[in-house]
Amino acid sequence: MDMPRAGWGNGRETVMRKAANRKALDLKKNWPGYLLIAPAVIAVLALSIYPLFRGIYLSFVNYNLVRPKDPVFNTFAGLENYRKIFANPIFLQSIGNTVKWTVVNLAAQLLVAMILALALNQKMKGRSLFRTLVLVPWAVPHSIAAMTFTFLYNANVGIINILAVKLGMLTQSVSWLGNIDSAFWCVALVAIWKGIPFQMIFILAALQGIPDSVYESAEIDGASRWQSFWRITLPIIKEPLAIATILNLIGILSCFNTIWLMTGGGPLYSTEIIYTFAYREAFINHNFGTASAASVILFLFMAVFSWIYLRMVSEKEE
Amino acid sequence: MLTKRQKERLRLTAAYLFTIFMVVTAMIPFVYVVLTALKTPEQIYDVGQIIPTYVTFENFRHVIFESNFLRYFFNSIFITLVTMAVSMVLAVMAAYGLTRYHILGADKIKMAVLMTRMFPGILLCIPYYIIMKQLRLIDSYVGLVLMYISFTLPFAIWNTCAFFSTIPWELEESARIDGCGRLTAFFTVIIHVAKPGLFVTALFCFMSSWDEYMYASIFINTTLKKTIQVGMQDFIGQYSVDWGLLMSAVTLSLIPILLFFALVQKNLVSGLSAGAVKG
Repeated sequence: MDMPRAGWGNGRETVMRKAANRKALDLKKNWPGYLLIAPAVIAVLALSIYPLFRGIYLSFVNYNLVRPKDPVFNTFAGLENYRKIFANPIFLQSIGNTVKWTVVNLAAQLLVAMILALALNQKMKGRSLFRTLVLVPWAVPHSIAAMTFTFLYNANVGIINILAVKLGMLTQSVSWLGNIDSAFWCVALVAIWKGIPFQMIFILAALQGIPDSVYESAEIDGASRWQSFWRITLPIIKEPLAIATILNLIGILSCFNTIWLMTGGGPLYSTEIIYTFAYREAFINHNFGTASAASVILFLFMAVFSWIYLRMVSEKEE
Repeated sequence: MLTKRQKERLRLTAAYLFTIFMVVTAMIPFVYVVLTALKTPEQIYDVGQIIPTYVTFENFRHVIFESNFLRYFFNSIFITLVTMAVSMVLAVMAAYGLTRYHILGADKIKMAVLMTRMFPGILLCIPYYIIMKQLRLIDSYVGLVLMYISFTLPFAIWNTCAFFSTIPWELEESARIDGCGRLTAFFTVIIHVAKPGLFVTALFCFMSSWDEYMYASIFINTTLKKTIQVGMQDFIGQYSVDWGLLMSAVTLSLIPILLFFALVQKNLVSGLSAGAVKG
């Protein structure tokens, strides 16, 4: 009963692949396989691929729900929606905020996650307990985290203000989330707090795959820990690290709940990223056309990273 | 100059200190949440009562018996379990088909599935609204579950494929030589071997739909149909917030997540990274 798996070759030759393709056409033998994947494929097509194209299409259509009787409603608009959003200073600000948001989150999460993973990779007592406990922020739902920190930042009852005033660091309570200078950083801090474990899990998994003998032989050769980190550890974990970073990046770009529930994009749009802008356009201003256009811009951002991710994953498989 | 042993100890101490610092950072917000949930309104505003001198369960009583909290809670449990079950059944079928049969363009299908995970939710949300309106699925759990499947299914397929492809074909073959049918071999061998991986995958489906807020807030209008993440906003009034109530609701809503978390923690690291890295 010879039935190698098609298209999964680990270094399989092209000839073999062609033979496999020919085999795949042998419907008599493989029809149950097609039947098995059909429901999932149909679901993905109907629930993801079709709405994606419909969304892209909407970005080229006049679709302002505030004026459904407008004669141009649901007609082709060309690039009008894009022209509108790029003429909107709030959208331009949201692009800047998105870049700032991404860089701040990613840099902080990568750095802390790396140190934490290295620490957890040491032979500590109670390591598995520690490992579980540091994952808690990741497991907590986004909206719960947002509510919790809104409470902690609160000017009247928040512990941060209470302690800061008590310790004499502040003379009076500060409305952290209502202040243009602090709101962005306070929300970013929550996203960082919540994002570190995810990034850390991947780094730790990669670190645990490195055998001790590698370090031992490096030590014999006289390499310091610092040197062996840069010359051995980093090159080995480079690939999983990159993959995790890109996955994390996509999460950071679509971090809607935390921002929306804490500040709603405010004050004065200082925490507005493209995602919240698109949401505001669609479900508060009821203009699906411009909202789709903004979402497509966000999608383009993400598509670049997704493409790199796919390239890495499939290269690994070849 | 430090000896090798001293260096080793120094490094370990640093590791302990940093880890403990991170554990404290991770846990302390929730310690304070629970403390607040146990306070009376006067205590919450009292600076001297950071750690309450006496505790009250009045907030919990109110949340459980006098609000819609339990209703929202079980709404979410229901939606989440249905989403998880449908995703897992479809994913296991698809993964078996993709890994055990010759499917034309199997790796292309897998890549396309993976790519859908990268679509921003807001870009799908807008057309969903139009589609669901046409299908009369607004304010309906069917519609909500369908949208949840759009993000749980691709993840489940990809992860399940990763687990199935690590199971050697010979294992199944020998079961079949022993006289098992293909279906029996599937249930006795594949499901058995992949069980830990499938469990973790199901848990992630559960957690990501439990976590979902945006779709639920847009598509569910009836108060009693709200999911827990949306329903929790009930405790936030327009002008004032009853922090004690909100924090006890937060505490209660974390119970299922922590429960699942405790169950799965052993396989968590391998389970989460398997699908993303191995493929």
